[in-house]
This record gives sequence, C-alpha cells and structure tokens, in this order.
Amino acid sequence: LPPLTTRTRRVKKYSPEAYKFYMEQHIENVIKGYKARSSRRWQLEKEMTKFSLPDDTKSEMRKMLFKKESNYIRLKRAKIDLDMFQMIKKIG
Amino acid sequence: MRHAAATLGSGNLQLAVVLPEGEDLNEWIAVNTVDFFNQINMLYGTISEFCTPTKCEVMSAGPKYEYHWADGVQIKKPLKCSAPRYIDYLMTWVQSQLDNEEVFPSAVGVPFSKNFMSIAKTILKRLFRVYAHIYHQHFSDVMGLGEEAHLNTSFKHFIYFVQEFNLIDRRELAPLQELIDKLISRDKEKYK
Ligand SMILES: [Zn+2]
Repeated sequence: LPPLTTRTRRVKKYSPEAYKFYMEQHIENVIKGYKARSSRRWQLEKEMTKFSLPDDTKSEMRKMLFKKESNYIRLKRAKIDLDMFQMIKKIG
Repeated sequence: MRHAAATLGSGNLQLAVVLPEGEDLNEWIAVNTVDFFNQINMLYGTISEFCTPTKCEVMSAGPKYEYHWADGVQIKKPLKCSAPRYIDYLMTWVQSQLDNEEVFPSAVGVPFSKNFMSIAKTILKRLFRVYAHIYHQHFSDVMGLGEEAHLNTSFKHFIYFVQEFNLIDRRELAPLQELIDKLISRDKEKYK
C-alpha cells in the first residue's frame, strides 16, 4: 500500500469550533424542525375543521401538505454540502 | 466505559426521529443519513491528526473489535489496514454513494432505486464504526477539544434513528452497547 500522507488523505481536517457550532445549531434545528412540522400538520387539520371541508377535499389537502414537506426535505438534502462549506468559510 | 455522558441541552430526540405522517420512508432515511455522514465527517476531521497509522495501526473499537476494509467491488478480500486508511476508504465510499444520483436522487420527483434501503443500511453500519473507533481510541482527544457533549448528542441521535427503523444489527452495535444503554436510560429518566 502507498503511504498515507496529509496530501493523500481524503478526509479533511476540521476546526473543533466549527464542528461544535455546527452540532449545536443542527440539534436545535432538528428539534425545531420536528415541532414546526407537527404544528403545520395540526394547523391544517384545525383550519379544515373550521371551514367544515368535505372529506375528499380534506384528504387532498393532506396529500398536498405531505408532498410539500417531502419535497422540502429532498431539496434540503441537495443543498446541505454547499451550506456547510459556506458556514465553515465564514467561521474561518 | 468511563465516558462522561454529557449531552447538549435540547429536546427529545427520540420523538424527532419518528417517520412523520405521510412521509416516504426512503426520503426520511436519505435526509437523515446525509446529516449523520456530515456530522461524522466533521467530527473525525477534528481528531484526524491524532488518528495516525502509527497510533492506530489497525481499525479497532477497543481490544475486542477489529475491522478490515472491503467494499465488495474494488477490494473484495478484507484488507487489514490502519484506522486512518480504513476511515479514508470508508468515508470516500459513503461520499460516492451520497453523490450517486441513482442511489440518492436529489431532483424532486425522481424515485429511489429498489436497493436503496440495503445501501442505506450498509452506509449506517459503516458510519457506526467511525463512532466506535472514536469512542474507544480517541475519547481523550475528544475531551481535550471539549467536544464530548457534541459527540454524545450526535451519537445518541444516530442510535435513536437506527433503532427506530431497525437499520443496524444488534451485534454490530456491541462495541458501544454499554454506552448506548447509558445514554438512553438517561433520556428515559428525563422524559418519562
Ligand atoms: Zn484512530
């Protein structure tokens, strides 16, 4: 095997401060995201009851919300790398 | 294990891992897998200078567990190598899976492949080994950098996630079982 040097290692060095900052933000966002998503779901149900929508309309609206949420996490996955890079650059 | 069980003050991560109503299971596993990879990648990057071929001659998780690298494609026969090399192979392999649009489609509307779940399981099983190596061989380095609460929280979230969907075999988790029990029992106290 060829020797493993700083140059050949693909794993990049990170600053502990950047990692800690990232983790603190990330965990906060996980909890916030969970609460926000539950509340959007609950809010929709509340509104639909308020306007006494028919069942099939309700079911359509739920499906639309699920689709929107699902698309959102897909797009989030697509842009994670870039966000992280920018954040690390900012911290220096 | 003598690890301080400090975690970041947050909320109940066990609730946050549950599949949201109406969500596609693959989509949920994909976004979380990418998150865990990023966390582990950064974490290992902070201690990589301590993980050298001389200090970590083999990829181990304590005296009882040793891992040999094989990706099943380029390296079929398990290769005994140093921990930094093993982790380099491992992270490069995971990155290549995450970058593969056929496995992790990033455009809206593109479906997941049929073997997505089995690839995701392999990714998570391998990522676990990086946590295991760090806990067993580099915890004092982590403490030195003041990262133990961050590591514990990251790992606890990971464990809740893989347990929720049964993504890693119990025997694979053995190198950190004691710590897992400890982290989870603390939460049980906190959120009962
Ligand atoms: Zn090491």
